[in-house]
Amino acid sequence: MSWYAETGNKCDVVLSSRVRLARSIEGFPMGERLSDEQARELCDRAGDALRGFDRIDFDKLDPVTAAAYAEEHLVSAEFASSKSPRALYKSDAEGDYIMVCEEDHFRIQSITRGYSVSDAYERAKRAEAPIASAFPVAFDNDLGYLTHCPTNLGTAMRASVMMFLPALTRRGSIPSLSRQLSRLGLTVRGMYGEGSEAVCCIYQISNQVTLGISEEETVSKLCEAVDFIIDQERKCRLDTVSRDPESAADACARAYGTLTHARMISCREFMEKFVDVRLAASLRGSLDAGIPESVTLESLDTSLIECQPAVLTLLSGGGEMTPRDRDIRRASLLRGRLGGASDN
Amino acid sequence: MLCEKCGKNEATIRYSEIVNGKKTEMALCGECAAAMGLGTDGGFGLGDLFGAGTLFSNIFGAIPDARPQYGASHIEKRCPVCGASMSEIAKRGKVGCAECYRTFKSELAPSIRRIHGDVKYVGDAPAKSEAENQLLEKKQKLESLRRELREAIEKEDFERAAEIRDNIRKIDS
Repeated sequence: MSWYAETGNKCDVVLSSRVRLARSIEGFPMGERLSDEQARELCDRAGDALRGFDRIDFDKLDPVTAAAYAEEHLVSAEFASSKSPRALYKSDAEGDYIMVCEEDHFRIQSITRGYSVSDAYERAKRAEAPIASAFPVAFDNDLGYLTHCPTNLGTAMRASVMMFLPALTRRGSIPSLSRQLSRLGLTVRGMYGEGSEAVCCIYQISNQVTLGISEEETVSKLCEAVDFIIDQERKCRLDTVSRDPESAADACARAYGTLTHARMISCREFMEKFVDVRLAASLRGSLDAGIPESVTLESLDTSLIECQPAVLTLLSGGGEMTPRDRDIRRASLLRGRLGGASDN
Repeated sequence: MLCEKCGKNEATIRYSEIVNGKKTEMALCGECAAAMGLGTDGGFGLGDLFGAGTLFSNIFGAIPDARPQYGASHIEKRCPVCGASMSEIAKRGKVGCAECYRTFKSELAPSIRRIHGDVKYVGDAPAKSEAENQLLEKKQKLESLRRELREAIEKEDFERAAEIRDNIRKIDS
C-alpha cells in the first residue's frame, strides 16, 4: 500500500514523516565526474547488497512514470528528470527508497505516514546497513559523512515532516514561523521540497543544520518544533471555526460540492478546494460541512497524489493527454473517490 | 598596475566583493591582501569555494573572491582520485569526490566554517564493512590464540601448545 493511503499518527496536521541519509563511496567521483560506467557499477553493486528490494533503472524509464515517482515523493525531482545512469531500489512494504547516483552516490530515504519521525529514522538506518556493509562509505572524524555538496556534511541527514497548515497560513503566520524555525536550525519548504511552491497549505519542515548535531538530537529538535506547530494549528483551526461556524461550514461544503460535481477541474482549482475539504475532514467533531464519513484523510491524500499530472496520466493508461483531457479525467476520478458516484 | 590600497607595490591580486548584490573590485598587492586577511594559498583564498555567482553567495552575503590574475604564476593542485582542481570545485560549489575534502582541506576549511560554524562532527560513525569486520574478527581470534599459546607454554602443556600453534597457522594463512 502506498504511504498516503495508510492511516497514521496526527494525520489531521501531519501527512508524512521522512528521513533521508546521503552517503558517498570512497574512490568514486561524484556528480558530473562520475562516468556512466562507474554509475552502472554502483547501481549493480548496490543490487548485490540490497536483497529484497526492487530495482528500477530510471535512465530506461519513460518520463511520465519517472515524474510520477517524484509526485509521490518517492524520489527527488532531479533524480526523476536526470538522463544519466541511475537506479532506484525500493521496498514499498517498508517505505524505503534508495536512490543510487542521485547528487550523492546513495540517498537512502524512508517515508512513513503521519507523524513518526523516529520511526522513519530507524527505518532509514536499517536500510542503510547493507550499503555501509558492502561499500567503503566516505567519512571523516571531524566533518562526518562526506557529501557532494558541503552544505550536507556531518550527519548528511535530512529529517522532514510534511504538514497541512491551512489555519496558520490564512492567519498569515507562516513567515514569522519560518523566521523562528530558522533560528532553531530548521527550515520551511514547499510541498515538493527545495524551491517548490507551498500549495494546498502543505509545507515541509526539516533540519537545515547537519554538522555539530547528532542524528538523535536532530530528530528531537525537529519534533519539538513540530509538536508546537501541531498545537498552534489545531488551536487556530478551532478558533476560526468557533468565530463563524456557518461561514467555515459553507466554504468547506462548497469546496466539497465542486470536487464531487465538477466535470472538468484543473490541478490548481483542485488543490484550492482540497484545502477546505481536508480541513473539514480533520474537524468532524467541531464542524458540520456535510462531508460523508467515507471521505477520510487517507482518501483525500490519495486523491491529492492521484490528481498530480504524471500520476493521473499513468492512472489513465499512460498515453498522451492534453491538459483538457487531464482536467476531465481528474474530475471523474474525484467524483469516484470522494463522491461515491461511478467513475465514468 | 599598482595596488589600489597602498599605491606602491605592483598589484598581483584582483579582489572582488559582493554585498547585497553590489559588486566592488580592487587590485591589490600581496602584502595588502594578506593584511586584509585574504589568503592566496594555491591561488585560492577564503571564500573562493562559493564565489560570486554560485548559489551560496546569495545565502551567505559578502563573498570575497581573491585569486592571482596579474602575472602571478602557480601550478594548480589536483585531487589524485577525481582530478578536480580547487577552481573547479569553487565554480560548482561542490567537490569532485570524497578525497577532495582531504586534498583541499585547508582551502575548503573557511567555507565549511562559514556554512556550518566552527563545529566538529557529532553523530553515528559508519558501520564497518563486512570485509573490515572479518579482518577485525580474525585479528581478535589470533590475539586470543596467542595468549592461550603463551599460557600453554608457561604451563609446559606442549601438546596443547602445538595444537594452538597449528590453529594460528591455519587462521593466519
